[in-house]
Amino acid sequence: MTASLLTLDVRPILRNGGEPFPEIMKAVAKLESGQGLRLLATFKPVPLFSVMQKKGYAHCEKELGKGDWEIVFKPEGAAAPEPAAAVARPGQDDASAWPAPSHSLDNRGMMPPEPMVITLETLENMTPGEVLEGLYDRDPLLLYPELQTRGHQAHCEKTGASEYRVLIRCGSAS
Amino acid sequence: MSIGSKVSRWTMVHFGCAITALLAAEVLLVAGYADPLAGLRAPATLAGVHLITIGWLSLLMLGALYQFVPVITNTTLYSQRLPLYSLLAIAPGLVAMLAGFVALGGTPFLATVWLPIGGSLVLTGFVLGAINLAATLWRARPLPLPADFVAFSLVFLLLTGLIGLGFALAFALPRPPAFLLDLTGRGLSLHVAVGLGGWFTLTVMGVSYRLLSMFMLAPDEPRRSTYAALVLTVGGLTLLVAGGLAGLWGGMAVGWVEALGATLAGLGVICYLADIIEFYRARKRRQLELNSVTAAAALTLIALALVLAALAMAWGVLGRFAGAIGYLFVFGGLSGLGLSQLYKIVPFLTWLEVFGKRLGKGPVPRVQDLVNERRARPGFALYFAATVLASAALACAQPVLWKIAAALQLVATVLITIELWRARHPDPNTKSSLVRPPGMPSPPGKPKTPSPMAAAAATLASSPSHPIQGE
Repeated sequence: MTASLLTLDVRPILRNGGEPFPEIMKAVAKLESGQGLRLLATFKPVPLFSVMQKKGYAHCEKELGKGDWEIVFKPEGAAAPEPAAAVARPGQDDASAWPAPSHSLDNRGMMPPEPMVITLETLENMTPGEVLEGLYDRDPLLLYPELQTRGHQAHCEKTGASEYRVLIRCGSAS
Repeated sequence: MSIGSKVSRWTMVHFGCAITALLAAEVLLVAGYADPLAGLRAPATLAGVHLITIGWLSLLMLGALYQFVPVITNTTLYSQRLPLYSLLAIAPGLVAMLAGFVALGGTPFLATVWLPIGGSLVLTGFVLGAINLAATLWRARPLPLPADFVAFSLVFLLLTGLIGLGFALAFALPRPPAFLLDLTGRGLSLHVAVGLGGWFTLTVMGVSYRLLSMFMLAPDEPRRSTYAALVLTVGGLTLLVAGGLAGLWGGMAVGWVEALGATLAGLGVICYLADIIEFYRARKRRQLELNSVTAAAALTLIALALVLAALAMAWGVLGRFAGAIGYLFVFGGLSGLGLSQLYKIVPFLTWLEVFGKRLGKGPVPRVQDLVNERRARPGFALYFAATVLASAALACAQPVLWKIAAALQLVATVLITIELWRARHPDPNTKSSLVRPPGMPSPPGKPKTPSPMAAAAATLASSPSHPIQGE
């Protein structure tokens, strides 16, 4: 398990022409020791990087497509604290260095196991290294072992009440 | 190390043993050996009851939990080998217990000492199963709400086994201690309540919250009523146990505590049923599959049994109708739900095992292609009709009607078992009835033809193994 991240989405503020800096600082003040901040913005907030660096946070950025960016700030020198009894959780691979998704699938409203079938079919036709973004009604728990067998990596996050967004990095296409 | 195993290794073996026990118990009923009309405490009836509660329901639940606890908590089962050891303790233990009950009935060549021997073995098996599931849950903290139900159900499973072992010792020891005699004199209702209410009902709640919502595409975010279901059911049962034991060993008159506990637990089940009704109402999948229709029938019978029990309690006639109401709850409700969900789980897991490796690499059949709902429907319809008829015959003390209903129920169970067997043994070359269900997007990209070598390897690798026959 990685250290917890606090997610802050300032894209609505930016789209309304607002200034997100106070919100970001409030969020930083709320961070517990060792906790990181995941920021979603409509541009690459370069000035923020030096501000955060002074506070002792390193960053890694990722373009999400459509001009949106995801920046993860992590306390420097604080490796993700591993809880003693941590179990490797399927669907929680570190996706911070993956490229933006090249394919996307909306599997919501499909009967299990259709989402799994479609996802695996799509991956068969992708090149290793490409990323597939899939939306699901629930965490696709039975999909992960199959992905693992085929050498793909997956990162799942809950994006709504009954909505999960899973990034899958195509591995050695089996 | 592999993360997450798709199919728990011994689950199908548990299911196979469980159905065997169910059929054996129904044969005993039809043959007239175990006769609920002759009295619930008759040794032959007790043998039948334990064949159902330990052999059928407990093995069914354990097998299902080994598969679903890892799925509910997104982790792996603590041990894939412990379920086998647990089963190797429970199955012979149950046979020894049955021998003990037969001895209790006065069969000359058997001794009642088999009761505590068998009971100890069964309890050992339960402990092994509970340790495995508890360790799995412990590693997966913080738990999602459905898993909390399972965590509490394991406590009640062990409590039920302990009380039962107390009875067995009281029957078998030459000079049992006074506290065991007190337990035997007044603890039967406690044993039944903790087993049926704690172990079975809580497990059914936890698993069905996840399973039914998944198969009906219903939003499964916990609601306030879900928390209420957990708190009321667990709290009510705890009160019931505390009140019962205080009455047994403390000599206190705490009848009102037990009544309050039973009422709270009943309210908890009502909250659960309200949640499930909401699943049906808010489902995205409008057309219900057979397993969802039969689950609704079974849950209706559970609700009916609860209402009847409350009415009987209010009129002070619970003792007279306990057999009929218990029959409706165990056979119509719990067993009906068990059979109806097996009809979905068995093909689903079999499909994963047999076709999982081939997914995306060419046409594979759909899960629905492994079953034929139209063929299975009469068996389920007959099953529910027969259990209702049998309960009514017990309530009205009609021996002839009871015999007919029990025979019909056996026929229905055999029909359902045949369908499950067919689903478990699909032809690996089954063709998909549909290349792509309507409304499904085509996968992007250029179709790749797998190399003949890869195709051959995939076919070889997916040769089905049949745990029911032993791997």
